[in-house]
Amino acid sequence: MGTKVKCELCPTECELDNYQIGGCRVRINKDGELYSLVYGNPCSIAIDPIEKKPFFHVYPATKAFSVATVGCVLGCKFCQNWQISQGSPEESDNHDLSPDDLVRQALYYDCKNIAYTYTEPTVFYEYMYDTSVIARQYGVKNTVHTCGYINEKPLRALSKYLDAACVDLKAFTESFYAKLCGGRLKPVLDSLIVLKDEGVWIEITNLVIPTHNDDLREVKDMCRWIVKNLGPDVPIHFSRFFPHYKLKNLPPTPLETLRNVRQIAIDAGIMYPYIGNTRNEAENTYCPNCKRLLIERMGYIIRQNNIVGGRCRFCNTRIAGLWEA
Amino acid sequence: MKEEKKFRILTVLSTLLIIFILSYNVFQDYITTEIGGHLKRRLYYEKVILKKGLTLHKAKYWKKMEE
Repeated sequence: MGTKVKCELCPTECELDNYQIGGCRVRINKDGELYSLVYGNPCSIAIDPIEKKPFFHVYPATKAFSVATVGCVLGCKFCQNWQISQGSPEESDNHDLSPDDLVRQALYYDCKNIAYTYTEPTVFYEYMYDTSVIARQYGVKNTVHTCGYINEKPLRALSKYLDAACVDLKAFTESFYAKLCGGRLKPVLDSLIVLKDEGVWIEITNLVIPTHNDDLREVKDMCRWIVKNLGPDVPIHFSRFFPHYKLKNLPPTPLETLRNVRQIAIDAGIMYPYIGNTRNEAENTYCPNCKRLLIERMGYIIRQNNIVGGRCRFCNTRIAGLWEA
Repeated sequence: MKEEKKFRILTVLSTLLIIFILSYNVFQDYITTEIGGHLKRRLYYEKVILKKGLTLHKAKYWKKMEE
């Protein structure tokens, strides 16, 4: 019945029979050859502020030409974009947009960055890779919002063209990943280390879900791991959970919980802990040295920016991130 | 037709039927999952995916790249 093919893109490593589609819904084995079904066919295109990704240390107040195809390597029960992440290309409305045209559009709309986002960009790897190569030639920055569930070889190959990655570290236990996402924690941690090793700027997002990953000891372990393996200057965004998809039975994350996990991050040595999905002063960036306000944010709007050439305007301390020269 | 010839024919047919039934039991899994599954997937590809006009783009294949 034809040759089997093992997809080696993500740690799931689906072994596909002839004409079988992978768990991501977008990769197919046809006569012993692996094909992508979504190359050049994004389902979502939008121009967003870079802060929406969220990237708080990457060219503030610039625009990100954001793109996604359907499909995902995981199946998170709390997914906020499940309509497209859990959809298949044959059921969705797709655009025709080649990598060339994508970069051209980004330049036309004066976007400093391209963001591969909304769903899991790993599933449209070839499209993202080819676009990144062209974007790099034209000085457009490549940013990705990912769950980090990707094998080392493809990640290293892509990292040569990536400028920044926002990685969803959904929890710090294997049981959470197994029960709520259908995946594993270890490959995500490995990806974070690979990204660091390749010199890609990293920010981490952690959606705090009541009763599932809001245990303070677990948060403490996670923050300690980040400080030890990635460094204290990796920003963490603790996002507020709202009932969604298959977790509608839970309440939104209490604000007090978010304040507590942020304090734990500070105590563990994290220099830039943020609280997201809610308006508060923990959206601002403060200088780790003089403690003065550097970037004041209100949602996705930047009200003031006191970082000049990557340094604090007041005490000249270097602030980690990607900044305008 | 002689009784003996009738009996021979009946014996041969019975043997064939028994062989067929035994073979089906042995290869049932293969027939239903492999062939049935293949036909189902191929039909889905031709009737749904091709009809939608989705293009196939060669995916990167790391093992091949290493070779």
